[in-house]
Amino acid sequence: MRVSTLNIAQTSLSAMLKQQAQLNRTQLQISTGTKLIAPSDNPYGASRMIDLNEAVTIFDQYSENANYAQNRLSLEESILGNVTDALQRVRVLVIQGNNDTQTNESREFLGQEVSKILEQLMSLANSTDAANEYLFGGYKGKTQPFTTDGLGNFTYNGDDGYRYLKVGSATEVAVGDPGKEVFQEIRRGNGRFYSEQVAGNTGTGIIDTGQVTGSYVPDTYTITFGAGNYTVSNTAGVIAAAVPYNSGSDINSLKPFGIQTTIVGQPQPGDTFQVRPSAHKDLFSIVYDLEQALKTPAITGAELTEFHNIMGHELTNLDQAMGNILSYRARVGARLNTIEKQVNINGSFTIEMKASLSGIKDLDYAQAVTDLNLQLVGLQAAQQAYTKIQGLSMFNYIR
Amino acid sequence: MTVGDPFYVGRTGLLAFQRVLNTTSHNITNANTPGYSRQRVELATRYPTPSTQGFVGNGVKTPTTVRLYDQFAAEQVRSRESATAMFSAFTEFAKQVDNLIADEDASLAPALEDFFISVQGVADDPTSIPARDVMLTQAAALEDRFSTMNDWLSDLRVAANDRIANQVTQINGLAQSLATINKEVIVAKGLGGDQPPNDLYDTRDHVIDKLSKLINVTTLEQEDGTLNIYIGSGQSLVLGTRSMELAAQSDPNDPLNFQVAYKDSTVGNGIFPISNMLEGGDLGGMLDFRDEILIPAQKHMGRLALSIAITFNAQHRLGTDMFDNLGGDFWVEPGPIDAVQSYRNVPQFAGTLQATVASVPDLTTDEYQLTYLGGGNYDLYNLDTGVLTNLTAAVGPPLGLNLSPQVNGLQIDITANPNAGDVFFIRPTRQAARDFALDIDDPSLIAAASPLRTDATVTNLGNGKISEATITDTTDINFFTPVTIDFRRNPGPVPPMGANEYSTDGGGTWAAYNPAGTTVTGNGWTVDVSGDVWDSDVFTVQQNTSGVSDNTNARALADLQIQGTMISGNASYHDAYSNLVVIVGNRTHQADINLTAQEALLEQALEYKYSISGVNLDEEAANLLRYQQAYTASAQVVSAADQMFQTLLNAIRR
Repeated sequence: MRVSTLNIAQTSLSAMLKQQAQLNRTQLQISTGTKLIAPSDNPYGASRMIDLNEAVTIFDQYSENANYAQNRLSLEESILGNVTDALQRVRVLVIQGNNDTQTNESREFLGQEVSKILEQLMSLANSTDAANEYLFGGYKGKTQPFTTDGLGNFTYNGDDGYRYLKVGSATEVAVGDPGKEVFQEIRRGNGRFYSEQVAGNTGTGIIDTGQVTGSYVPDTYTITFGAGNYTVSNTAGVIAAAVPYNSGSDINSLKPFGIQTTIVGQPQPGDTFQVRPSAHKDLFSIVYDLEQALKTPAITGAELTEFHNIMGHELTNLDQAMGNILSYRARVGARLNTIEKQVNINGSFTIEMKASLSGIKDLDYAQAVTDLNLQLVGLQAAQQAYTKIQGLSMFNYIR
Repeated sequence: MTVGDPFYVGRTGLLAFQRVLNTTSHNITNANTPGYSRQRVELATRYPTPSTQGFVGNGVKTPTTVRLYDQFAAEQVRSRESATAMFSAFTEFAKQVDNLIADEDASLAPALEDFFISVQGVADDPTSIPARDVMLTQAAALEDRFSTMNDWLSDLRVAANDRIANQVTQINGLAQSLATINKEVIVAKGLGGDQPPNDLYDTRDHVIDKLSKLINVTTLEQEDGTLNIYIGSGQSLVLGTRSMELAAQSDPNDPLNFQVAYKDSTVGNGIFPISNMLEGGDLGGMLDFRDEILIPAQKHMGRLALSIAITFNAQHRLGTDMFDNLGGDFWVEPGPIDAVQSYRNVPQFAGTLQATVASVPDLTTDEYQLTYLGGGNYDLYNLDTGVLTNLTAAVGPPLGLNLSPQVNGLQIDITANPNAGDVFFIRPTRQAARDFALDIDDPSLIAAASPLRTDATVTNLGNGKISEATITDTTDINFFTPVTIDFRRNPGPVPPMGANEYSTDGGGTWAAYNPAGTTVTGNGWTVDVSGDVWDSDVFTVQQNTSGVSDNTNARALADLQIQGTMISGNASYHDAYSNLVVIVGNRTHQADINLTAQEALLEQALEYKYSISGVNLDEEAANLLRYQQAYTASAQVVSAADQMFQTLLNAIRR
């Protein structure tokens, strides 16, 4: 085929321009370190990049959240630890005070110490975090959760709100517990029912906390003493009448209702004991009641009996409170554990995603530099060929 | 003239080779002239003189000079030029969108990520004013990013419009010169005794080549040597010596876009749009860029802006701010979209026609043409998918008439039925990115908390749990009225057992309670109560006053980032954006590949054309030598004839 002179020049010129464009692109890739300069280079890759970048930032955010949650939960855990220690001390003091060797005066001293501990417990329950937000106020983080009128009435001003943070794509953890559940909702007695002597008993009868045997039927059961015997009734009426009383033996008539309890001592006729479903009693009231019992002088036999009765039952309540605090500590620990696991999972996800991201985006330098060299050689060759061919013309030989 | 006169024969040779040498020189000097086709002088024997001793040759003659030109090759080149120019213009503009749209810093995706990080920040620490400030700052940055990207797309639209106008001016200029050349061809053919005016043809072909870079061109040769020129898919541009004039002007049905039309006051309203019949060339590339990249990009951005504003606002309104007020609009709530009516509606419809986004997941980027058929019936034609839906009007708020059914999540309302045959255009998403804006500036107004809180009364004997309230309707007039949920055992056995009924109106009416989980419905909210609830237990639902530590709604807002709020509930905001990146990337990629292919094809076509029409200087050098020799030889013939004559004269003189 014949070739026109103009065409020869243009063809080699455009070939050179193409080589230059390729060279320029490789150079740009090397200087930016990425092989994906615009979405059109790899449209699917570009959209994957957006997805992966988003996922990486989301997982980073989960880790941020986890960090925040860890701070709050660690603080809560240490506060609950302090609460446990304080309750432990109260328990020691109470057992000491319940001993008959104590005098009214020495009990008064013990009561003073319990009173100090109560103040400490209040301030622990009203703890704030670094941002001055109450830890145990539920959603009302700027309202002091627990207040008292100084007369044994303790009020919870917060609410039931749980604040959750997302620490993984499907994992939310609560970063606190409402004070109501931790400090206020403590079941009295053994957790299912509680037994008490009705105020005004004149004998020395003491009813123990009792335990559930079989299936518990919730109701109010009243044990009324006559002369050497007692009558058991519930809201529907008398269950058993005139049962002979032996100090220290079980109240058998209550067993069909799932209740095993014992009365010791000598109740007087007309003395009454009740077994009721466990209601809530707050931790502060328990400690306050213990403090008041210790501070109240007990001289007569009936007074001492009432004292021992109160001490015994409130001690049980105190154990319930400690159990409750412990279970919340355990929950906090479990949450911290969940967070730690989730942080590890998030970390490995992030690494995987960054690896995919790098696979799409990052340049293989060895390959790129090899390409660059090849393209340089190609361009040089094209340039040399061009000058050689342009020199050829028959007119050079016509003289 | 006598038979076989060598003088005469030699002279024909001299004249012929002079002409041939002249043409060779013409070829050599025009070797680099664009559009030049090499020429060749045709040589032929003159008509011989008959005699009794046979025909006596009369030398050489040059009947004509032809240009070496192949119509097929020329048309090949033009069609390749057209395609190359089209893809080249397309990619030139598309790459600008392509580069920005997935930029790791400047595109929408990072702004969206940063914004949701800041929402999480508020969820982490809802009482923190600094965290809320950061959320507002990032929201403003997102607004700014939307408007920057939209402005920048609008700038590209202006640039595309300018280029379209400029190309139309060029096409008009070329059309005029083609008409003029056609005229000159007629004259030249007359003067030259029907000989082909080669150089004039070349000039004309070269103008057509130029035209082909702007738009697809087809030609049809007429008997008088003129060429009729058609562009696009057969729209006439030059007919003989008359040229049409095109105009680029704002499309009355879509005022931001330019359309190409015949400037002819005799047709329609003086406008005869041909934009969608035009293809190829730089102009075709620009029109394609506008239709396939620019407008889709704006529509996708708009849909994203609409979706974010509507869904985020909806969730924000379900929360409560630091002042215990219900959340307001976080973003400016997108209003109804006004339709554009066709300029052909006579008289123009005086009422209002609006489209409102009724369902975000169903919203598409499609645009519509609504035609009133009369009798309360409308045809809604989807301009993107071609689907036709029949709508009927029924009296209803807010304008007067509702058109139903809703199409792709759009509710169309009109003040009154227009004239039958009236046409309207509805473009729901095109400008929405422009209107995306932050509505609040006080960080305390961010509704991070739930408006209601639920409590179990501390004296409850059972272990029943109440869930957080699910907010369904904050506009309920009794929304904030505290509600007590009482429980009882009915019939009440002795002793009391687990509750089996609940009441929300203080014991007026009772409903069954199932400990496995019972949903209690209140005034615009629901809660779930589950577990072992006892007779006389009480739960309360009331306004969440001072609930500053509550992050319930902030979490719900943050969750919107990964929720399938768009595209039939299958795509998150990011998914929708990455969808746009794929559309732009794919289309640009495809155009890029086509451009490379067309460039190669163009090169081949040019090579073929040049192999016929192009000047090869070596060839011309050889011709120069050859015809020089021929000329010298002819001169020798004259010289020989002269010697013969001298010989004769000398013989007589003696």
